[in-house]
Amino acid sequence: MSAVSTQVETHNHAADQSTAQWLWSILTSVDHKTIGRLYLLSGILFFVVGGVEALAIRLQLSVPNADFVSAQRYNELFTMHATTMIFLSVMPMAAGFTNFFLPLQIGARDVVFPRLNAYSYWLWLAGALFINSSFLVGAFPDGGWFGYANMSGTQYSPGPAMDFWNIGLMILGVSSMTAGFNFITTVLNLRAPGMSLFRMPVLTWMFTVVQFLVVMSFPILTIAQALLLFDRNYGTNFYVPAKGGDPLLWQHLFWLFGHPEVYILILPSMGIVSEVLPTFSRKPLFGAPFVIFSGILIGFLGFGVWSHHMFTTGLGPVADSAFSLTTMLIAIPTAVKIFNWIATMWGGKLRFTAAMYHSIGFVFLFTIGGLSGVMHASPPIDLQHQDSYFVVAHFHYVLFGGSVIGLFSGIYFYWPKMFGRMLSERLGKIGFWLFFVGMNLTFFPMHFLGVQGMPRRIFRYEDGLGWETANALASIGALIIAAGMAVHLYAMISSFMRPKDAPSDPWDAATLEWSIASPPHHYNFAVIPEVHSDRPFWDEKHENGPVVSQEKLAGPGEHHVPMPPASYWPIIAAFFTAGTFICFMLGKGADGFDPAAFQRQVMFQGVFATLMLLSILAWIREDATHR
Amino acid sequence: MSRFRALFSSVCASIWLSGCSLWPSEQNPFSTVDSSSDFNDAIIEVYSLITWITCIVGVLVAILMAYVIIKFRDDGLPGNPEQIHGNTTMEIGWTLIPVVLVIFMVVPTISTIFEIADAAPDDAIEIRVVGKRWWWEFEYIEEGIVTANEIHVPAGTPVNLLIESDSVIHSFWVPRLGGKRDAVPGRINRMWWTIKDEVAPGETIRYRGECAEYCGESHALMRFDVIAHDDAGYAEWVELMKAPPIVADAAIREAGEEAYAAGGCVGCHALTNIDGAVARIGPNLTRLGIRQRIAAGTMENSVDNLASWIENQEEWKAGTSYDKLGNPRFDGMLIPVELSEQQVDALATYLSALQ
Repeated sequence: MSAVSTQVETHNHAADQSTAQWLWSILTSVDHKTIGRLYLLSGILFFVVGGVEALAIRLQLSVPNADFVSAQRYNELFTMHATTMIFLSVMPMAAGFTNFFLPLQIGARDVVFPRLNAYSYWLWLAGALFINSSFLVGAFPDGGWFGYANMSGTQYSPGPAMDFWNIGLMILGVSSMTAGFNFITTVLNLRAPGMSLFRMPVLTWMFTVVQFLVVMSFPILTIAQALLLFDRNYGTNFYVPAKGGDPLLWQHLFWLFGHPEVYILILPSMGIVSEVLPTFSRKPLFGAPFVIFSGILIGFLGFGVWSHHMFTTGLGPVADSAFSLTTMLIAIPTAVKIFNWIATMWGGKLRFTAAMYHSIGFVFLFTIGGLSGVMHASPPIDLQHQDSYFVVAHFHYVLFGGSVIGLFSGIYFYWPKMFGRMLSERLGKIGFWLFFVGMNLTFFPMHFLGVQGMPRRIFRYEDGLGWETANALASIGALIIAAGMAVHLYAMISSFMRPKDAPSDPWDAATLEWSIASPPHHYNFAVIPEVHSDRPFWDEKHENGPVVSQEKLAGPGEHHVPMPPASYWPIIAAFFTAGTFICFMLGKGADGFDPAAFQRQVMFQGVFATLMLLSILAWIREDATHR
Repeated sequence: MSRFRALFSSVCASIWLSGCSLWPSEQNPFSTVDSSSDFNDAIIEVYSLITWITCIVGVLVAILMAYVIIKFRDDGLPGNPEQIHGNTTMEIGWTLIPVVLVIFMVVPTISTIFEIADAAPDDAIEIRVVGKRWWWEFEYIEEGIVTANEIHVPAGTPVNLLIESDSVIHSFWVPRLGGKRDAVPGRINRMWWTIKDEVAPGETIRYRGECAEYCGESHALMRFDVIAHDDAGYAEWVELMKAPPIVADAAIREAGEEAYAAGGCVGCHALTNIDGAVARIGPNLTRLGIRQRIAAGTMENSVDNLASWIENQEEWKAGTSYDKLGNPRFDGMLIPVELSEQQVDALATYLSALQ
């Protein structure tokens, strides 16, 4: 077979390339490290977008009777804030770390399906841009990120706004699924010799659990959304009570996805913390098998608790009791994790780097969020907490104090390995304190707002209800968080103006990714190391264990290792896949099923689907010989 | 150091002060922890138990973390600390701690779940609650009274609510009287409580309620009130509501009824003293004059407010008359109400006079 001559070698030095070549090399890259960087940076970008939406929400709620935005605009803001933060920020940031570090930590040169990996990213980007393109036609989704039926049906949500949300999320779901199968296959097949499952780093373990949650929970969401699509497009009545449908069906399906989704968001951060705390305590993770089993158990139980989002819908005392019990059981593995993290620090030599600040902050803030979660695991309490600001306080402690601060710990820890440049420790610590103070000022008073009976998702409140102080504090806190984000952004951007001089092992860490260059060569490992413990690199450095570092195994400098060539088929296939889904927009009848619209949809969809299949065929027939 | 101490104490003082203003007090109409019913008493019992447990655990974990952070700082001496990989006894220990705590929380939780799920007693007043976009209809099943946004009940008598919705999912929530129940279209949810506050003869106590489930544009403006009377006061209210209201002043009555007809109000709003005004699309306006508030609990009831509400409802409450695409929400609805200013005033005066 002949090599495809137009492709650009991805490992060329940036200095030798023109901008167009550089862009082309990114668009066609199948290197898990490039794709990981893309995911991380896109996630950070959307974090800013979601943050601006949050600031607009806090501006409107800063004083009683405010009139900065209309009710409709406010509803759009909270819908897009949550959708952006969950699907377009935290998930891709975690996906960035998964892409970059899962292969490195198991001693692999890439994922099993590098081109599928590129396809996942471009499809994700297409979905993200599609949802936000609703702005261009002035129809921002406004049904909440949970899209509760029957309000998300055409009767109460006419116009295309909720179609953008529904179809966009379906596209993101396909992207997550392909990525999930890719990573599971990678972990099962590409581990270095001697790397048994229980020698895998805890971070990789948590990534693996997340991928299982993704491939098992996203199909449920997709099914729920397909039914919604049929209701909205073709006049079916899965969720329409007036025609015999049941809006609670949506809630069951959505939360059967939605609760595992919560663990999809938190487990990567738990994994990061499980790497950072041992490194900066100079100790192994305390009880690593227990931390891993706890993570698996949390993921498993996550599928059995969905109805705790529905205690107020009237499921009856037996269901309420059962789901209350399963929910509280999750507190047990969670507590085990927290105790193990503290025990890891106990007796260590703690070095307070910016990454360590964030990880310690994570343990503290996540504990608060976990404990308030235990409170409304009790249905009688939940009858008061549900849909009040107490719940807003709770999940922001878990998702901001937990997921986001954990991911920022990962940014300060892994940035040198990902980009070859150190981040400013000083800025990292300033940013941390602004985040920490700001988030506590924003979200702690919300507990009291909930106790004082302020419901969620209200665009306005009058004075005299006792809600003024807490809301004012929350809005000030939001500004402090924004200042913290500005500092973090400055730290990241300014790092690119400094020389690319990060050492391969800046933190004296224990796992394989630190035994190779920063950033790693495109082939990662010139010689695949043999692994004899769960801390192979630590053992080499401190215990005179077997050699795993590349400098010693393969010698310095670059080596010739055959790698899969770049390919433009993934991005083309992703484009046509997204197009195939977006064609559903054309099939919407004005009132129920409309044969003309359906015909139009099928026609365009046929073209896009054919092109998608052709591009996948070309992808299959492409010469992918490792070069 | 003394400057630091002054700063520290002033920070503590301000946290304490703002903490005080955050904690719910008698002045907070929507407080969840100032109970006025047996239902909320049952909730608060398990609420305070679990709150104490979680707060104590939280404080202990924070103290433990602070100790570890201070005690085990890097001393800068060469060499690594002892490499401890784990300890199974300790793992079992700190697995059992949350197990025990969960048992302590689950048992009272489940007993409370079944306690509040008991059927209402036979002597309870039954009220059908219908969540609408964005107001509440209340129908007293035995008395045959239909009204909107104000539930009148006697204190000390059980009230059984049958909660449903004619549109999207809403949630019926009176925080002082207990938890919320969703109004789900296509099903009937139940909730019952007995108000335990004493009401003096001739007086009333107002408990404020709100919609807790996001239900569209004007979700924030979907309030209601529970008005508690003593037994005699309640009986009086029932008699009043059953009898058709009479507007004594003939001029007001004639001008008002004319405007009522001209505005097409009859198409949606029921009014027992006008023949044929039986529609239930909009709130029942019978004895509107004795209601304390209008526009689903969001405005004081006065002639001026009523007039401005009739004229500017879309401005105050988006989506009342038009859907998101700008189409009228109800078939054949006369919107905007094509009434002259005098007619609006006459209508407002007339509706206020329905006492």
